[in-house]
Amino acid sequence: MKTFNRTGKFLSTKGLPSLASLTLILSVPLIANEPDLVLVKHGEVVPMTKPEKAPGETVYLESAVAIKTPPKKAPRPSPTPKPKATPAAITQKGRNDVPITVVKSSHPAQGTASSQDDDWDAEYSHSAQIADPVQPVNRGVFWFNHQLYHYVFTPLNKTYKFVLPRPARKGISNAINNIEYPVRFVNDLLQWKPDRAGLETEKFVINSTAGVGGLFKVSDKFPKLAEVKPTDTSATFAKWGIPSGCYIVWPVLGPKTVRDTVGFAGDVALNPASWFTYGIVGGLTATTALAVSAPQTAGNTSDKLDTYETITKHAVDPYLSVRSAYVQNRKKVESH
Amino acid sequence: MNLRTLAPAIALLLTGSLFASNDAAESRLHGAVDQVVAITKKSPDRSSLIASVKPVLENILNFETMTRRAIGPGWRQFTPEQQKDAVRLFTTLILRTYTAKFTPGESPAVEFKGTVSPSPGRDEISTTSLYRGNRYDVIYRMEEQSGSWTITDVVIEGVSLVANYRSQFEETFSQGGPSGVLKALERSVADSK
Repeated sequence: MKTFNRTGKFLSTKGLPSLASLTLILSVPLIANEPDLVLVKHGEVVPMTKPEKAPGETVYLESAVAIKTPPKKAPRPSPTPKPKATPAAITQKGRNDVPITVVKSSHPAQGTASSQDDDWDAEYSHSAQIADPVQPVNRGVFWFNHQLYHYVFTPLNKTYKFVLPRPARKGISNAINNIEYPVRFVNDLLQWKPDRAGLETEKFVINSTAGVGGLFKVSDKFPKLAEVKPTDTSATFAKWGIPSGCYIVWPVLGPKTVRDTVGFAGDVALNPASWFTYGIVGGLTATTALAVSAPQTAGNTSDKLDTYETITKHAVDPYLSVRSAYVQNRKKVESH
Repeated sequence: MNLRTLAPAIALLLTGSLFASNDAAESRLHGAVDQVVAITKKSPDRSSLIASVKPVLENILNFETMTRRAIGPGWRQFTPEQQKDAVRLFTTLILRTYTAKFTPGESPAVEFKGTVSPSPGRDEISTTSLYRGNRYDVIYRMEEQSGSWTITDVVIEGVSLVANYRSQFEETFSQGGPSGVLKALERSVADSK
């Protein structure tokens, strides 16, 4: 496949597979009495020099915005409305020497996608990208975890739900979440967010006292406390600019990146529940102890299993669905 | 408030003046949410709940756009018949994903947090849903097409429904083309019953 720049100059054929997966593409039919070749980007038509094309042949042009690496932060708004880069602004990045590929389509009637589609293509292509060099191994571990969740954890979860009514389950979940306060507090400080650390402390004091040891989340009655976003060690590493590394699926623990794996160890070290767990489990393996005491895991196992089922049950490829959901969700946590 | 915190606020005001907030999208979403909440409250069982909720979702979710964007640029290599099949199968999957979480008598408390208009004809409505004691940030991406506002994507806790399926379809398409995508969809629809 040949690559041309905006002036129709042939560039190269190298690196196309990787570039193709990172480009924003749109097609336009080139018909008689129109420029031989045009580049259409977000509604803007740019005449171009003619490349090789048989007379009368309909050529479909796929234009690419040259964004070789995903933007550091996706230009979508957070729950707090913020101004964001418009697609036009994104396009400016690739204004010069935009590589394009000329392809032929056997279905000229299709391709009615609007410019709105083109605006979203870059984001949807980039939003869940992660290096996955050990995918075959990861898929094997994923399969093992899936059987474990399906045949061991899910039946246990059903028994747990049957034995304990929802208010009791919620109380336990709240109490564990409350105990994990040091994880959030320390990382708020490490991210230099003293205001949020103060709000976390306020929450902890209110829930530990008025909430009877954290069983009741009384803090949710105060909007400013209910809105406090939780953080963790991995998010701190991300804020410090440490790259995520590749994607790894761990036995039992599930999906992580290299950075999140190290961050997870930090969370365990900061979590009083893990100190307690190590004290009483003694003979259990380290992996099991980690799984039991992992922040945001122990108290929310039931919710997490429900979420896991939702993500995998209606998926075309459950492995890719979980990976995509994990990467997107971590980006949100890290953006707080 | 220092300059760094003030800057986004100023930029937001400027953005707001460029793209006046559109109440039509939010009121349409409000209406649909109210309808779903009312249905979940009065439905005696799960099957009647799903049957009642489906028309509301079909009315506000833009399945054709969602399918097109979930499949991505490969969509243009689908024949018209294949495109119809893809939309039909994807619609079934989306409806199952949504209705699987509805329980008679239980409904989320939805709080609207504000709307951002990135460009004319496009709104992103931020909400917080409180359901079974858990809070979820949900963003509804809506677009105006043919004079009507419809949902083209839902982002729950940072996870975009369309981006999630795009990750899956990209690999499926690169390996099997349009027929590979359709086969995968058919298999998923059959498995998720």
